[in-house]
Amino acid sequence: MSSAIDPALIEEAAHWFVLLASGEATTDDRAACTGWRTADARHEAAWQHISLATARLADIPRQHAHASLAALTTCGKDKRPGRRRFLVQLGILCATGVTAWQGWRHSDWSADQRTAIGEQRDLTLADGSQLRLDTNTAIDIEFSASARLIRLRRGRIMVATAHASSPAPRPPFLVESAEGRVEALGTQFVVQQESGSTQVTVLQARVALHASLAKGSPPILAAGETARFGRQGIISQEAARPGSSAWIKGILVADDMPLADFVAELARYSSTPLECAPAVRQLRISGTYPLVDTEEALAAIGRILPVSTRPLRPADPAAGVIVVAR
Amino acid sequence: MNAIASPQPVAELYREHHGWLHGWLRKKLGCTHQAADLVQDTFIEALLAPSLDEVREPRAWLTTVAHRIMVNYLRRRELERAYLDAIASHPEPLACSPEERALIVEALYEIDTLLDGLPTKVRQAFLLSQLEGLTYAEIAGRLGVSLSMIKKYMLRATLHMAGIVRP
Repeated sequence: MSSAIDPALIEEAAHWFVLLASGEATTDDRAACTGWRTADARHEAAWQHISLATARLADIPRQHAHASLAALTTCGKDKRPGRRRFLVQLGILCATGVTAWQGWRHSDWSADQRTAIGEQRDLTLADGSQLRLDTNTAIDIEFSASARLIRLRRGRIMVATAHASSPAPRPPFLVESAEGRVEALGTQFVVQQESGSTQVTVLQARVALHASLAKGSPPILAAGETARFGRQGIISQEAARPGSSAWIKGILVADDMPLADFVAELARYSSTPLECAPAVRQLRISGTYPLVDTEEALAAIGRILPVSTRPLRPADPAAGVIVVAR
Repeated sequence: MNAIASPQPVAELYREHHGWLHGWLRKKLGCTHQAADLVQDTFIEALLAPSLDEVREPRAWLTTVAHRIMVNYLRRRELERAYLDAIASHPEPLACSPEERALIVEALYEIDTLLDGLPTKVRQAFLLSQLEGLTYAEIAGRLGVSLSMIKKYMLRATLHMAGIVRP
């Protein structure tokens, strides 16, 4: 992975991780860690390295933790040491034009890419298309002769498809969510997997929406439009809110935004849970806030609105933070 | 990133060797469909091998690759069984779609691979902290070791997962 990062710094970051994972870390501990992270970009890179390395554990749903733990510990007795992780960049495999090998199984051979909470990452695909992965996002890249397919398992991605270098027709570019597929029609767009629906925003040109259970010709979404769709089809469609794609630049643009929505958006980038007290959910907020520094963003709203933050459970700072009336 | 072998030698390799390789895997696994899947996986790996042209003993090379793929496959299956057993003995039924289950098993496999080579107690301490959310004091009680030992275990597991192995 990031071999450019100094191992000594990774070790320092690991010490911070172990300190904060104790379940008894104090607010001071957390502040000290944030201080260390922000003191130097290399510190932050080392921290991200640790976060990413341990992010796989966050994929296990809470209610499955116990069964998973049992599987991982009862099953670990008779193992040979040193099995290596095997990664295949399938997008690159297919870019060579080799299409003879069908039958790879999705779970084994897909090119997993994921970001940790608070992380964004850029990828260039084998066909030259660009992806931006938002915080806490997981995708599989599956390119074949019949389709250039990105499976969005969770989170949000921005796609900028490459301009064709030759007039030869290329396989369709598709982003697949739990609800269906978004087909690029020469374009730049954002797809977000939400709970039970998919949000699509078109930045340039158009996309076609193929909801998995919908019949008939797929609806087309044009630049500047946003739509939420379920398996049956479009649930809502409207003009995209200005600034709704500012996350690409690491910024949250609020324009008379309900505080509840603001905090929910911020929470996606925060490693500690964030909540909004019912009494202040309807307060409105405007302005531009950093997504990369959720603490700073929370401090900023405290200067604008009559709200402040306090720990969700005073005895356990790791439980998260709640925004309450001041 | 490694260069990709040109498809030609792989196609030849496939014609010459997929028959016996399939037979070999079928004998080991006792299932012709599963063997066919793993044969495909083996040849995909051949396609990705940086220096396939230099392989002098393709039979031995393919056996080695296929063996590793089979071991990984069996490990995944073993994890899935252990996981399903644990679910079955869970006091409350756990709702879980086949897709969710596949994703969980996949995550378990990756976690297992990442923790591979660590002593059992180090694994347990790390998993109790990160999966179950226990405090270090609780883990120390559960494993019967000191608090400072738990911190050492946690650091070792974290560094191991980050790809840093200390002597």
